[in-house]
Amino acid sequence: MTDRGKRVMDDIRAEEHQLLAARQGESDSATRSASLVIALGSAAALALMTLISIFVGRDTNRYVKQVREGGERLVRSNQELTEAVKALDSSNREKEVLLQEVHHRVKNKLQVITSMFSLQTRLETDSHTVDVLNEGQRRVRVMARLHEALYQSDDLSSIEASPYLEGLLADTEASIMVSPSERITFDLDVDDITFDARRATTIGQIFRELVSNCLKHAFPDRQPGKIEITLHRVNGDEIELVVSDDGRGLGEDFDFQNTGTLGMRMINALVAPLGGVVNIDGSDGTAVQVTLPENS
Amino acid sequence: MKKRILVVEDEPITAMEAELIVCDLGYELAGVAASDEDAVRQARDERPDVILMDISLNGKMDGREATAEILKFQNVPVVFVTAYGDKRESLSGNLTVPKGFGYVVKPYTSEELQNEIQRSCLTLSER
Repeated sequence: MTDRGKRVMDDIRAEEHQLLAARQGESDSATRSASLVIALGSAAALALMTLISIFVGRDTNRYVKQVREGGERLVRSNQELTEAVKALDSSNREKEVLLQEVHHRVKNKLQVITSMFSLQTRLETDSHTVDVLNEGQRRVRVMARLHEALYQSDDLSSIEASPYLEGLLADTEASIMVSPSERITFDLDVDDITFDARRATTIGQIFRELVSNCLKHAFPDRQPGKIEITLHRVNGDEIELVVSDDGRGLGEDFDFQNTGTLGMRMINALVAPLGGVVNIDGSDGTAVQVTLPENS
Repeated sequence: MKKRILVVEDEPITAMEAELIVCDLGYELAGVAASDEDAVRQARDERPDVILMDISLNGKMDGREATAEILKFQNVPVVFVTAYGDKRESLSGNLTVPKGFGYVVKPYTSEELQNEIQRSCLTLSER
């Protein structure tokens, strides 16, 4: 080979080396770049995970704390509620005992009143006075019946009409029909009505006065007869008590508004404050109709 | 021989009426007691045939407890008198009442009290 050829070959080799070196440099640079990217990516991922775990951990701790505090509040509330229920139970028991005591005292005092009537009756010789005293005693017993019915009702303030009137009828019948030969029958028809205490008092007293009047005056000379008593809800919001008999009636000249009997005067006095109306028909037997608003 | 009745009642007016009813019926009044201890003492001393016992009494014992004490030494018919309207309420408690016990609710009529006393005396006669 000539010198010139040799030089050319050397130049070619040198150029080839340069090219190889350049390619090697490019390859190393790419490798470094890839490593850097991977490192940076890993670091970012690690940082992100750390941040996430910090935030998640912080939220979890806060949540656990909130749950624990909520639980403690619930326990405290439960304890307070338990204590409040105990206090209420205790208060209710006290009230029941007090109510029972009041009830007991009222009944005892009503007994004293009827005993006084009874003792006074023993000293009287005048039959009219004895009748008046007995009537007073019976009126006190109506109050006792009302009191008893209220005490035994579920809410201590209202009374079911039917058992109340049945009890009053039994009392009135037993106290006035002294002779079993008096053949008087009763027909009681009562709607499902509940009275408040005030209406129960009024209706009870009116009921007793009317039934008592029938028993004492409608059937003279122990004649047989029938007394019908109805209590119905009428016109949606009124209650109507009707006591009627097939006895001798009142006569055409009977003036209810100006009657002198205490019973009728009491009925007027009891009905008026409640906005009620009394109607009497004495032409064929006697029928007394009392209409009251059901509610105040 | 007249039956002897002990009246246990702490209300004087009510006791007075009961006394008169007992006498009206032809029975003998064994005594009137106004407290628990007095009731037990008079029952022990007088040995009545029937006791008219108010449930509510002055003293540590009520009428049921006083009756239980009396029944320890004498099997005697008792007519309970109570202002409570419910019989179970009046007679609840550990009380074994003898045959012939009666029960009257205040305010009672003279007739109601008479009937219960007579019923107890009748039961006593049938023993």
